Amino acid sequence: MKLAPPPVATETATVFIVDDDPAVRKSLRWLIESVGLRVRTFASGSEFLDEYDPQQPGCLVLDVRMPGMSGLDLQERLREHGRHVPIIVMTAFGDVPMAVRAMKFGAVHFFEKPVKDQELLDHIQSAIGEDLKRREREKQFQAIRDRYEKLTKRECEVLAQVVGGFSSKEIGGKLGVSFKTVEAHRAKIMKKMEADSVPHLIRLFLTISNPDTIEEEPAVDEPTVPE
Amino acid sequence: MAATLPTSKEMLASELEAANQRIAALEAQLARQAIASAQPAAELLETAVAHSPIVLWSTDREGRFTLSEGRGLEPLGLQPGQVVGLSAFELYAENPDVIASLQRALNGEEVVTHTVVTGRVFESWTAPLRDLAGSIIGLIGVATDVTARANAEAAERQFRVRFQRVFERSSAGIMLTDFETGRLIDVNPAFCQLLEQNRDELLGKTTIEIGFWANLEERQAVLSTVTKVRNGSPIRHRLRTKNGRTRFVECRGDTLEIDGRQCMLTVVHDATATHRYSQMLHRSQRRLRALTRYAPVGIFRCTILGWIVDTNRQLLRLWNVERPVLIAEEWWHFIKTEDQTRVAEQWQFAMSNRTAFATEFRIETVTGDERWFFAQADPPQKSGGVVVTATDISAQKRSEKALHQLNEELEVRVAQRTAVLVNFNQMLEEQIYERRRAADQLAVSNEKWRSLVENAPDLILLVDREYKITFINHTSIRPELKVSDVVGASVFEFLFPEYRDKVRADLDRVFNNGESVSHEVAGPNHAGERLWFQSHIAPVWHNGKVVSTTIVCRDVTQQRQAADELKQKQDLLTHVGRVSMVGEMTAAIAHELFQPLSAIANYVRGCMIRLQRNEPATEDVLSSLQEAVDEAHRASEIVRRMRQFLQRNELKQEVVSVHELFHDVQRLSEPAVRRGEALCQVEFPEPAVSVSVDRIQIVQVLLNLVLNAVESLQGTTGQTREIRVSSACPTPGVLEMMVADNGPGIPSHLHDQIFEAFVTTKTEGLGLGLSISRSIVEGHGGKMSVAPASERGAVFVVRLPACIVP
Repeated sequence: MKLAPPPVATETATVFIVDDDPAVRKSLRWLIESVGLRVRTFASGSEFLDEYDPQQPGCLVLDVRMPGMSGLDLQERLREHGRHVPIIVMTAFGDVPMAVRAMKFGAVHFFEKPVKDQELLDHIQSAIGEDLKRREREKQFQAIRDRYEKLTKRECEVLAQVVGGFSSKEIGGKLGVSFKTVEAHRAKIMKKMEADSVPHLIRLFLTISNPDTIEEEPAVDEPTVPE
Repeated sequence: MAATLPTSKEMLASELEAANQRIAALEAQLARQAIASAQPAAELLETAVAHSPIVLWSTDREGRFTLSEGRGLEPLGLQPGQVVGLSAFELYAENPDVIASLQRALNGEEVVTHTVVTGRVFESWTAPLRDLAGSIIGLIGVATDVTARANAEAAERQFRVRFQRVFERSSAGIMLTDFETGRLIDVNPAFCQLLEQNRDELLGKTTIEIGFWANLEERQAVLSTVTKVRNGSPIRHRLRTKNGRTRFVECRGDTLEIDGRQCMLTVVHDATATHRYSQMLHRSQRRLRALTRYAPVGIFRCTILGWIVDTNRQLLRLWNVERPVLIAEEWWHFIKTEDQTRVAEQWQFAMSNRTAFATEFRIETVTGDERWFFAQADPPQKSGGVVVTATDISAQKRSEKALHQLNEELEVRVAQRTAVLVNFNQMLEEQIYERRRAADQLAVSNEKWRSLVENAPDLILLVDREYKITFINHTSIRPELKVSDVVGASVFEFLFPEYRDKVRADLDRVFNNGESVSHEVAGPNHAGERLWFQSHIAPVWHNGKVVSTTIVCRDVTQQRQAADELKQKQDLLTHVGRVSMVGEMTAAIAHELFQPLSAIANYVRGCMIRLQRNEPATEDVLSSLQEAVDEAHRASEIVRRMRQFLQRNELKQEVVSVHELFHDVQRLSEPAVRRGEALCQVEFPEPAVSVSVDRIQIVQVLLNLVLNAVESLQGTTGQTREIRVSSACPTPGVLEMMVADNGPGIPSHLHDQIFEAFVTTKTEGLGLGLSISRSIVEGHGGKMSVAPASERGAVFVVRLPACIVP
């Protein structure tokens, strides 16, 4: 059963179900909707790809074995497009190698069928929470990135030297400008990057140059389950 | 002369007559004188005798003349009475005829003789002279000189003989006719021959009657000629014989008088041949003239020296010269210069040796060509002229040349042909050798066949139209029977009764249609146990009719048992195949079972969560529970279907539509297909054709193919894994079911082996599935094959006969 796409609401997380078995799709919808989550079901990976809106937060419940595009194929396609929707994979009984491959491709969890309902619901909640957090981080990162974009070329050079731990005097010598000019650049950088202090500035810079390092700072332990 | 002779004869005859009359008169006178008076009478007698040309004489008993008178003595040179007193016996001692007649008269006999005395012929009458008592006292005789008469008679006799001889033997026909009437008086044999009639037929008839003259006028004309012109040229006359033949004759005639009658003596000479010859000669002369004038051969006459005297026109034309130029020239002067000397020498040689002349030479024509001539001449005659013929033999020469050439060619051909013949002969000899060898081989082969029939393990029988066995090679299958027990018996005696109708029908087919039939029948052995025979029945033809049948019969009891066992084993194996297939599908089936089970759990859990929140049991809750129930049924259906598939049934033929088969396969393969992440497209044909098969087994085959396809697709990525199940009826009565995939396909070197047991492309598995499938399909009289699919992958084809189109 295919429902009409609901209006996009950033705060309304949706559970996407991709399974070729209509009974499974229908029963999962029944189960997941019982905990108040929005559910959209798709009979195949390609159907999902056609309709998926990356802005829509939520998680993907995916059957690995499907004719045509398999679950793993779909995972790969999503990765290629840089979609970071959290994926919960359902595998057939005893199909361990498949599960391993699914995890390698970035699934957040995998279940063997028959899926234990409560466990599935729990993992869906946590995946959605994680997705929401990730989206928040993404937003922050983009803000820093926007600020950095405003810097001039010279200011960028100066910033790199500052992050490198050089003094204004040293920087002036390296770039062949006066100490005062370097100082002026630093002031402009601090303003543009909305940094409180030099360490803050350094942290902001590192965030945009290597997002993963910052990823570890906010640990997502408990999924936020909306009641 | 011929006319004078009879005249003198007449004269003589009359003279003789006259003499006789005179003698008679004398005798009468003597008698009268003797009666009248002896004396005066004697005187008178003496006078008469003295003047008569007779000799009157008498003798005594001793033969002495007592009287010798008469003028007849004169020619003898005697005087009357000169011999009186002389003994007659002494006087005529030299003349025995006279002596004999004298003595006969003395013995009383009257004798008349002709005697020749001194060249005169006398007719002598001698009688005894008696006295009154009658006793002989002497002799009395009268001798008349008849010399003239005798001479005339002899001459006439001689003439007659000569005339007769001429008349009889003359080659010319002679006829004597009456001048006035034309009646035939006499004819000679030559005349008879000429007219082809008998003498008797001819005599007495007229010349017109016998057809000598055509009519009176003709005769008159001839007679007038004859009388007018004596000794003229003979008259030519065309004579028609009695037999219708025409003869040319030359007649000469003369008149003569015979016995006062005017007669016509005609001498007829047969001139037919002469006439013909003269005509032929005439004709031949004419021809010769024409020939000489018009002959295509040049002819010229010349002297011995070769000077041309005359020539025909043809020669002038051939040699292209004018006559005046030729005349009086040596003829070789006109031939080609090179030949002149030779020809002249040959000519001179022939002429001087009086031999025939023949030579060839050339003549140069105006145009400068040369023509060949052949000249020949007979040896020269005394007259001196030589006739030479000159023939143009250029064409002959040319043809001789051509002939020569042809001969040479012919010889070459003959040589070639001979070579061919020699070759052919050799070939024939080889063939003969081959045939002989073949005949030997045939004999050996015959022996082999005989041995083969006798020693064949199979039974070989001949059965006639009454189903009676007329021959059997041995009875090894039923050793308790002898050949003689079997021959003459009906074939049915050796079969179980239930096969009799079938065997009778099959034998009838062989006899009536000339077909060959094979079947398997069973008969009892000596213990009544079942023996199976595989028989092949074939017709024996004779003159276009089936006169008998040969049955080659093999004991297949053991094979039959083995086949039964094999079939059981195969059934078992088929079942094992199914079990193992289901085994392979276990994971897929489990997955398939977990689908409904999951769904059930989800439905129920969803309901529970809602109900735990004290929400009312809405329609949604109820319908979800219903869904859960349906899913439970679905799960049990899967199990049921598998169980059914695994059942070990007896082979059961039933009419199944392709739709049913495909549905079964689709349902059974669904878990595996899904698990293989493949798409299985099934094309249900319209209209749905049906086949008579064992449903489970054929489904097993198709399922096996689909599962194999799923498995072959496992290695592929990046494309949709497709399996396509379809069907077709390529020819009426045949159904083909295809299972195609777009996997890696079957390596071509395995296409033939893939159906063998233990051959597999899979890393796991025994490779028995396809082998079992093939057994099943072949058990249904079908065939299985594999081919590359159109783009990639493989197509397996199951071909089944006995397709039924609704």
